[in-house]
Amino acid sequence: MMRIVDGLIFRPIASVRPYLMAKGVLLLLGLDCIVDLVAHGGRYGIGGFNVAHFAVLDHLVPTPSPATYVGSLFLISGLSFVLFFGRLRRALLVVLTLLYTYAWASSLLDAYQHHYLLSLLLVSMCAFPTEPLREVLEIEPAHPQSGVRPAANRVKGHSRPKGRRSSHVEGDADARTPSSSHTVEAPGYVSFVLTCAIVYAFTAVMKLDPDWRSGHALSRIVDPSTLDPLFFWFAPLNLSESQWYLWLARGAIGFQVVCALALVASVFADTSTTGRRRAIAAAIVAPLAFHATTESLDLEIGWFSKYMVLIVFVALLPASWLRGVLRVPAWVRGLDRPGAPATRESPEKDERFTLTIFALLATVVTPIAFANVDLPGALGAGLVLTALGMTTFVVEERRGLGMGADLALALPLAGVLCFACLAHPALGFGAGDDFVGVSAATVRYDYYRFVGGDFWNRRDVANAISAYEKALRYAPTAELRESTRRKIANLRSGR
Amino acid sequence: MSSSPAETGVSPPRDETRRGRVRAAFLAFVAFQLVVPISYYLRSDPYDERFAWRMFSDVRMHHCETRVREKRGAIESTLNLPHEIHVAWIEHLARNRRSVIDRFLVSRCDLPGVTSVELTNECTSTSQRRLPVQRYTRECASGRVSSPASGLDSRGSR
Repeated sequence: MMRIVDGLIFRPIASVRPYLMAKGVLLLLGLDCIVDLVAHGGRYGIGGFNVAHFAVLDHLVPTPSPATYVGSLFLISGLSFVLFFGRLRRALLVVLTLLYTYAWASSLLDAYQHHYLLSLLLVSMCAFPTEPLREVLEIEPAHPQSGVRPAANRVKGHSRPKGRRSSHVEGDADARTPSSSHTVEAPGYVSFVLTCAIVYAFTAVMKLDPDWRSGHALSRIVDPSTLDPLFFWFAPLNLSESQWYLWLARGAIGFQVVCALALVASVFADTSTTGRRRAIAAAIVAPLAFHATTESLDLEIGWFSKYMVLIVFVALLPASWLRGVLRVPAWVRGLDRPGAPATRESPEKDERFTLTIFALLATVVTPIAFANVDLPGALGAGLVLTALGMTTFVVEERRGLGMGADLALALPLAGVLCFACLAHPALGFGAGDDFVGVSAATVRYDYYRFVGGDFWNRRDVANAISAYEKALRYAPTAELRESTRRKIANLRSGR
Repeated sequence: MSSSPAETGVSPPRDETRRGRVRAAFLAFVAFQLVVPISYYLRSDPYDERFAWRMFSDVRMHHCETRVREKRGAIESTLNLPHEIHVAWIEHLARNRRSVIDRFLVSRCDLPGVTSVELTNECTSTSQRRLPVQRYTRECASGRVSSPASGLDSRGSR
């Protein structure tokens, strides 16, 4: 029994998978918090009323306010971006996990189940391998003196014995281990994937309920007009609206069962035969079809589908494809360039001065980016983020780990990206109705108009006008500016 | 019969103690994830579907009309909820979230002059069937609370 359990937990996983999974989830999390969640931060603590997910939090922490909630979200985004741009640091991942869990658990106002799922995934990510990109791609650093990488070490598939790593050489004659990827033991990654499989399995079981299987539940949450494309493309089937609901509901169960099985099987992919690996990769059709359908039906599930699509891509696709994806950032950072020294990840002493200057600049640039956000709590988040980053930098430098170099760049980049999520239309992914479309970022406009609407509901006209005036400043289109102006005029005239 | 590490695909053990800890943590984490959603089916409150992975369940799709009446001495009035509390909380009240309803009733009783509060949810199922009225009351002086009986009727159930 123990052998079977160990065979699952300590199974070799292509090192590219946990690396890419962590980076992808961190990027999505950073964007999600600002683009999708900040806008609703104004409702926290209104009238002093709040109920936390766990009663103990009601006693331990003060009632959340817009400043603490929005500030937490900016800090979460900033930390996610720092870990995305820089190295994966376990200590910062733990802080991120606690902070994110606190953010949703502090109030039932955030009742999205996938936020709880993300907390579970972040816990797993805390146990991911923290190797830098260079090691994931098995790129040997250049020789310190000559700056030239030893040719023998650049042979694809060659691996240095290091820690718990193992490797499989491309073109290996053994049909059981034909993977071209270097592997690591990654219990955290296995638990990450199993967590997703468990969720799919439970959601499938829940849908066995008669109300779901009959299509009634689905018909209640779906706008009938979203079925129009189905009527058009599948006209020969001559199915009625209720029949479509019935088959969509039953199809969802089937797809979710396949998703769960495929994710469990994916743990074994990197040590399977080519045929099995292809079968596992082909199973990606099920989650893609399922999530494409849920997105097209316009269900209120936040960014759940985006996370799951990313996860199934990384878990199910061949490791060699994922390595190809990572070649891009390696090329951007010059890690793969012949003769490139290993400066970015282990700087020499004469470069420390420059890095320190960069780090000091980061302490200025990052809070400035957050100070311009014009939302409660954002500046505080910027200051805490900078303090966290700089503390990590100093600790790592004093310990002589030579790993803090990336923070000097990651911190200001994180600050700028947080700000850009609000300000630049091209970064407003998912802000509208599109799955991966680009739409105008309306975070601050939405935040202030929601606040204005709530003040108006409670007949607090002065504060409602003040909030709508702020919304007007950030209205992304002429039409919205005009409608906001009309709203302000109506409030002023007492209508 | 034992198999070699190469056959099992598992690298040889380096540190059994460390492996034991990792194994224990892993199994505890997975067990936690199984126990929490299963516990929903053993609880008395069908409306609290958090952590049970029951997105878009039939219970979640119940449509409820929420009404709150409170007494101030002999005068009884119906609250205009959006004037009193954020609409997001009204949704929770309409979903029969016990913890939110309890806190809301307490918050009303904290107001001067309020002697009792009653919240009712009139719900219909996904197939438009009327479900038993969910009625929650609090007597402010005694703090006595009455809530609907646990569970739902046979066809409004989870």
